Amino acid sequence: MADYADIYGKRVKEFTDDPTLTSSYEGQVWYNENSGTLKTLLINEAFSSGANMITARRGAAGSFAGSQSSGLGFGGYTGSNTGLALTEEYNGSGWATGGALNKARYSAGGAGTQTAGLCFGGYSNPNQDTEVEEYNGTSWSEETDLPTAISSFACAVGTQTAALNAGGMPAPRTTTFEYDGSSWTATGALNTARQSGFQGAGTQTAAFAAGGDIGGSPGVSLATEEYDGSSWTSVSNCPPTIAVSAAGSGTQTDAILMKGTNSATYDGTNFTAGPSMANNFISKVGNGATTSTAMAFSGNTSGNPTSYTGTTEEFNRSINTITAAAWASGGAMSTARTGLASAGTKNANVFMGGQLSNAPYGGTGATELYDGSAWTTNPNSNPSTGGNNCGTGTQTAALSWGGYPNVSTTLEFDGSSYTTTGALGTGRELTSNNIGVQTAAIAAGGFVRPGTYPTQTEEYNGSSWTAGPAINTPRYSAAGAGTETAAVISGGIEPGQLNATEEYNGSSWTTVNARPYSAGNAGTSGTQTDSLVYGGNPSGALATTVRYDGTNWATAPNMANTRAMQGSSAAGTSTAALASSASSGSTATEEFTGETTVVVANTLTTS
Amino acid sequence: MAHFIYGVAQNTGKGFFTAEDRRAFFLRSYPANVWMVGNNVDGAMWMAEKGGVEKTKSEAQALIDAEVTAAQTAWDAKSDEEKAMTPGRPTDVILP
Repeated sequence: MADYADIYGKRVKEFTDDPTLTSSYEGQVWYNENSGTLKTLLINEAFSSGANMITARRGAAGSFAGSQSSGLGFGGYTGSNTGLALTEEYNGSGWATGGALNKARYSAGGAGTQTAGLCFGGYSNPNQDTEVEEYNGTSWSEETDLPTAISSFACAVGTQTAALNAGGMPAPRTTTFEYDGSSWTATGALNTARQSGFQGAGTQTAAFAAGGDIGGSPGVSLATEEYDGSSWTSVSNCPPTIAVSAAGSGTQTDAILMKGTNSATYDGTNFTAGPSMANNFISKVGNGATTSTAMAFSGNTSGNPTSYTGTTEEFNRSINTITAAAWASGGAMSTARTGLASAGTKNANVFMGGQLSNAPYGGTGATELYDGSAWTTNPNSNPSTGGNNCGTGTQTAALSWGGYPNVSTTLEFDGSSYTTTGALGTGRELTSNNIGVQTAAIAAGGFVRPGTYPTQTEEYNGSSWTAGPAINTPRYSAAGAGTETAAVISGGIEPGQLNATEEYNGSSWTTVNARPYSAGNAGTSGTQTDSLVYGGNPSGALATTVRYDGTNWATAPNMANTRAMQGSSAAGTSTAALASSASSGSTATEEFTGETTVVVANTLTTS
Repeated sequence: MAHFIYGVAQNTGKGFFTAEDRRAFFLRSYPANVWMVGNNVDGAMWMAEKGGVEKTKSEAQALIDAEVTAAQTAWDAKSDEEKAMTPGRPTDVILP
């Protein structure tokens, strides 16, 4: 039998085990002595789910030249022919609110980046529009109008200072316009007139566009054309699977088109079926100047233009296998409860007291310990049994303070027993949770019966509490995270539901970007610069999850259950969190696992 | 085709739904052990594997209504002091 070197003229490296996998091994073959197999490292193509937009919509536009870590979506349709002015920014983890368009619209053209975006034309009741706006990362400003009112652009690509659009409505059009950042110029016409559902990729000087609606019946074109900066040339037809209402990303020679669950890549000559998408929506918006940064978001169900979505998917072409973040069911508690003190991590947690969620209701001191799979009842209960108490720390070094009604008692928990320590200066319940450790904690705000919401904070040093600087917004049931010298609180009740966010630097509280949703009684995990906030109850509990990076908020995958006044993971992280207290009064818990990236070698087999 | 499958299944705790499940199909929990999952192969398989009893949307809504009504009645029967401690009267839950 001929060996590998005889056939291919190359030798195969031999390793005891797989080497540390980097991109330098892409396409190489080696022999793994331990497994006795030939191995290689291949490029994987796949879509991974991103966070949903804050506002689901169809007919949105996007920053074509953006990326998976800096996308921009604007405008759209949610039932009103006026359209939306809402802008959202994507940071790779979630969407945050951006500056609103000056003119609400849908089916507009989009180009540019998250900090230099371009929106042109579109539809705003009652007609197509000529309005053009530029985005600077914060706000939109009006610029030179399009020469003619157009919506549903067949092709909208490029940057804020070098954009291209072709075709569109009303009526199938062959018109092509270039924008240089200040004015529009008509240029070479399309060979085939298109009116909508025809998207491409590329730049102002090297673009392509495929398929589209050409009017009439059946009205679908498979024609593909390439643009060289002055004229369009017909090339090979596109596959029917992505012919109409697809989104595009990439360049003229390396692009991907995305529609429904289908995708197709284009290399400048041929189309090839791409990986499947999870979300079966059409008219998505493509972002990404290259395929390595491509993403698609929003859209509607085919045949049902009133079914909108905010789903987001990212295209990944890499040696990495990316696994999206998600919540999963955790072990069931013995005692369903709300308004409890908790401490610890996702896999080593303690719940200390609280209020019974079911009859006979009332407070409880029941203490339960979690090992990552099951809860066990601790023989020693929390002596503070009123519920609405607060906590922080770890499973074996926890702190519980306050509670109903106006309790000042503070208790240290060592993993088994409680010890009374210095009392709060002001007895109260529902202060912030999860800031600091057993020997250095903060209690911010709270509820003092019969009904005041102080701005007062207190700091604990391991033996006693002393008054700290006041928070700016009075509230109770704020979500806390961080340390005694680098903390963050968000949301709460005053008595309306709040989204106000404040950071503490050890000496003063500063109001920062507000959380995307208003609610008290949310759970938290993490630090001032990387925390997860989940659930809460504005009017009925929520499953909402968001992540804070110390500056901006972004959406994250939601919990399966709605939850409020829950136990959480004071010592956890933004990628490993625990939540309890389902609104249905059940004992169910959930565990959060953040996004992971791994490189896995492929085993070669004979066939 | 309907977007969702509705069913009743008892949450057994750890492993009842996994992160992989959440990535594969839509899943949301409601009162009365009602689960709403995406109408795809993965969602249907999950419901079957968990011993879920499939319901129509109206049947599922009726189960939720009964559970919520019972919770509201229980909350209304609480003393003012008990009410003051809790998040609030359970609100109606409408399946999307």
